[in-house]
Amino acid sequence: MTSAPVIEVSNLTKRFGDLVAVDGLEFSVRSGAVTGFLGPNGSGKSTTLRTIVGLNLPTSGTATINGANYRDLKHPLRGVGAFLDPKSLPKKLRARTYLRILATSNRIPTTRVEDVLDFVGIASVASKRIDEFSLGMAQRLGIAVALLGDPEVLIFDEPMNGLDPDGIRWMRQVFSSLATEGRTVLVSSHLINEIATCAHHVIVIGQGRLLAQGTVDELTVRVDSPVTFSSRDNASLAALIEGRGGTVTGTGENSVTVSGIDAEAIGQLALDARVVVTQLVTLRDSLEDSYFELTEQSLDFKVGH
Amino acid sequence: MRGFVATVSAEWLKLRSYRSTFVALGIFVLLGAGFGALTGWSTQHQWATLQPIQRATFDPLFTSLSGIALGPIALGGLSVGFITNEFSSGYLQGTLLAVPNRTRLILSKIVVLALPVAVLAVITSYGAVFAFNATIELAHERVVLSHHGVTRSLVLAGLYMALAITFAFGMGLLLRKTALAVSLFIGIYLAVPIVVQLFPWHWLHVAQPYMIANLGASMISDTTPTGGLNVWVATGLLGLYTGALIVLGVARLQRTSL
Repeated sequence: MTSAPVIEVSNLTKRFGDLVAVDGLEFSVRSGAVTGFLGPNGSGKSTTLRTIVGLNLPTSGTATINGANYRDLKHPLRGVGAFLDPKSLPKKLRARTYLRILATSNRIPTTRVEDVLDFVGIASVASKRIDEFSLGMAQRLGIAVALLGDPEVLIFDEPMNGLDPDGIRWMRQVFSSLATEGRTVLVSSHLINEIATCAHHVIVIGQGRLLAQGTVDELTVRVDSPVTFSSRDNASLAALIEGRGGTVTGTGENSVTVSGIDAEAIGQLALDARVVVTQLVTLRDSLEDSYFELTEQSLDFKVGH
Repeated sequence: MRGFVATVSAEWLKLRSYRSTFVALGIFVLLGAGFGALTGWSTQHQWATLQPIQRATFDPLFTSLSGIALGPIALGGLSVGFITNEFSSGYLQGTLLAVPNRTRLILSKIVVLALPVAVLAVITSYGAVFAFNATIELAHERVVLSHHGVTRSLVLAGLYMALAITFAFGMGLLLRKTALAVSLFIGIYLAVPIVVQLFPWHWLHVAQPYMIANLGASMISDTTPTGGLNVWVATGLLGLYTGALIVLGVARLQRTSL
């Protein structure tokens, strides 16, 4: 991950009257990875994303893509695909018509329209008016809109809202494969678990300020990640773990949850003791924990406010 | 320039995709040509009862174009809605992601509204004159197309409609609410000149020829109407009003967070 930053937000502040929505925010997003943009509702995520794509003008500071302001891009859809709000879809137009209008405006070959409709799986309903679409179909159309110009940079604001579990899984796969192709993918969410399994990098904000930025691994070392294991001899393995400074925090029917020790050390202990391990999992909600730990303060402040 | 052409093509495709566009244009053509036939027919039937002075001042061209004068009412809603609907639905955000240059976007929208309407209005004006001539039997009260100023009037009818609906678009751009902008536009266009007449003050009456509808009357007459402005002064003033409104609207849009 030594690529140059693609999206750069530098000392960005955005005020709406007395309200400070974004307050001296600073972060960068690199290519070839999915970057999760996290924060509670009202933390300034949408305002930041809208500023990056030129819908807002910053009060001060800058937000650039490959060093340029979005508003200065000649055919922006060819470089940056963004889908920020299902309301931005024209309800009275047919899905295919809308994509054709967008393609025309950015001199994108109209063959791309059918390509992206096929890719997101709504080709069969593309002749329907958008107001007949379910929320899930509208979100898929939003992905098609973003992908239309085959852009290197993709920006999504809460794309999984209203999706069923299948849709969420599909969308995670889409984001991951786009990043694997070397693109830059920035995805916001207020629900950490939505993107925990596909994001490589995470930016956490609260009250318009940066709380943390780094890889998922970097963020999760802040908290003690619990590990769950099952083995042929849970009791003796648990005793060995406690001997190494680990703490048993829960015992299930077949499994034991411990903290204060990582999965690798447990595996080594089991190998040394010749205990067959049938399951060994570092619990994924550790990122969620670190997220709550980070955002708790900004939420507390808000309640007291 | 290529970017501007692409934006114009996209907005043109968008305008054509709404059925309401064709409904409004259809109403305009029917109203324009229909009033040509209607005024011809009614003039024919009333001629015997008219006073000599009314006969002497009868203006066949202006009478035949009565429906064109109502054109801004027929097309004002279409024109206002072409921008306010994008504001109210949130669609403008999607449009601006594709075309972040807001001045270019607004100019493109004006081009795709005003150019086809101008052409259609000229055709409709000719249609109105033909319909008028076909329904009036008094040969000496027909519109003679070869007369001085007639062709100019029919062409300026197109320019007048283009400017009037651009003015309506400008109100939509500035006010952003469909109902507010449409009612205010119709108010300025129709009601204000009528209301002004109810007041006794001289200065208000002096303002009368500067109202949009009366500027339009000056533009589409082959002679300067009594108390009206010269055709080119009227054209220039309407252009000025419209231009100022658009400049204000674009300036406001540039500063808006969406």
